[in-house]
Amino acid sequence: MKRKNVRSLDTIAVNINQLERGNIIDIGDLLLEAKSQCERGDWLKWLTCEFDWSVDTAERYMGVAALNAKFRSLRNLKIAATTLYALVYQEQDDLPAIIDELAKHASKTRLSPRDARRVIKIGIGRRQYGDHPDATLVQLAELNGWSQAWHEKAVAALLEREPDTDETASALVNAMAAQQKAEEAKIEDDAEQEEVESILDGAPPDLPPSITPEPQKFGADTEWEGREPFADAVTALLRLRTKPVGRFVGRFSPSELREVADFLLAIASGAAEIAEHDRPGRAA
Amino acid sequence: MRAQIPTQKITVARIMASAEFARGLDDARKGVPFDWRNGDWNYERGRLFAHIAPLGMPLRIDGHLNPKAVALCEAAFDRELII
Repeated sequence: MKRKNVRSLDTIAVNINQLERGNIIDIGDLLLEAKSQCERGDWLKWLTCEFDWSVDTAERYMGVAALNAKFRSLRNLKIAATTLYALVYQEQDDLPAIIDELAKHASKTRLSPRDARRVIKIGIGRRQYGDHPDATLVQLAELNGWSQAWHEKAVAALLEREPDTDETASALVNAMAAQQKAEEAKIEDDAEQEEVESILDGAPPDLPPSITPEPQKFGADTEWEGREPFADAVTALLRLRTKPVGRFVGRFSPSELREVADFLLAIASGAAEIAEHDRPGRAA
Repeated sequence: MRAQIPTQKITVARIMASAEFARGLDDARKGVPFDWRNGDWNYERGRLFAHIAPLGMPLRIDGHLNPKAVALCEAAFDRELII
């Protein structure tokens, strides 16, 4: 077998530097050639020593060159570098259809990266679903790989109706997504309603019993140690009640004040009971 | 017979957002007896709701009304368990 002339790594580096950065395929070819000559571990050292590119950039160049080896028409396509890089990451099975599709659109006129992305989707869609309008194929490719139920319904609807504009195809998919969202919301609402019904139909919560204050035992002749402090406190309150309320706010908590009020009201109702009891002519 | 005062429509969420509703719910859950001095209807509604909602159902989550509590309260209003 005749051995191919092998260039040294230095010669390859010089050749690469003589090329313009935009010459991706040729640079990639030379990088592949250099990599095949490097011993294990030497490749990255050589790369970083010779060029100021990142490893990822070199990988992309080589990826495009490898792709060009499979699809010779790639070199003739009028597409941007970003499109070439995007092709490197496409599924191998989709590539022939994608390259064919790009060849239809980018052989004579230059294809912008945005338009190229659309054409790539058309290629993917055509390989997987056959001939349909471009707008339909774009949407089909975008739904590709999703496995939710609504995606399957959207694919079926697209294949059946075959929309021929991006607007109608997109509207169809959006409608399917909205329908799915509405169905999910309904399921959630139904579950919430069921939970509400079960709470309302179920046993009430086990609330703690209300703490009712002990009823006071009253008697006019009852002697007890709190009598004088009570009289002093009520006298003081009677004196203070004409003062502005704002002066006293915050000194005691509402619950403490409520307890005092309950206490005074219990005494007041006790006094009424005694008066009723002592009323002349009342049956014993 | 006393004449009915003018009424206005109000959402359940607005009722539940009132401080008196929260106070009524809190009082009933703590076993505090009915505060007869509190003349606000929402205090009574809050206490009623305490007898319906599970103890573990908070009125608010992160400062916002708990949507599940609101849904339950709306259903309780529909059934006239709370008026």
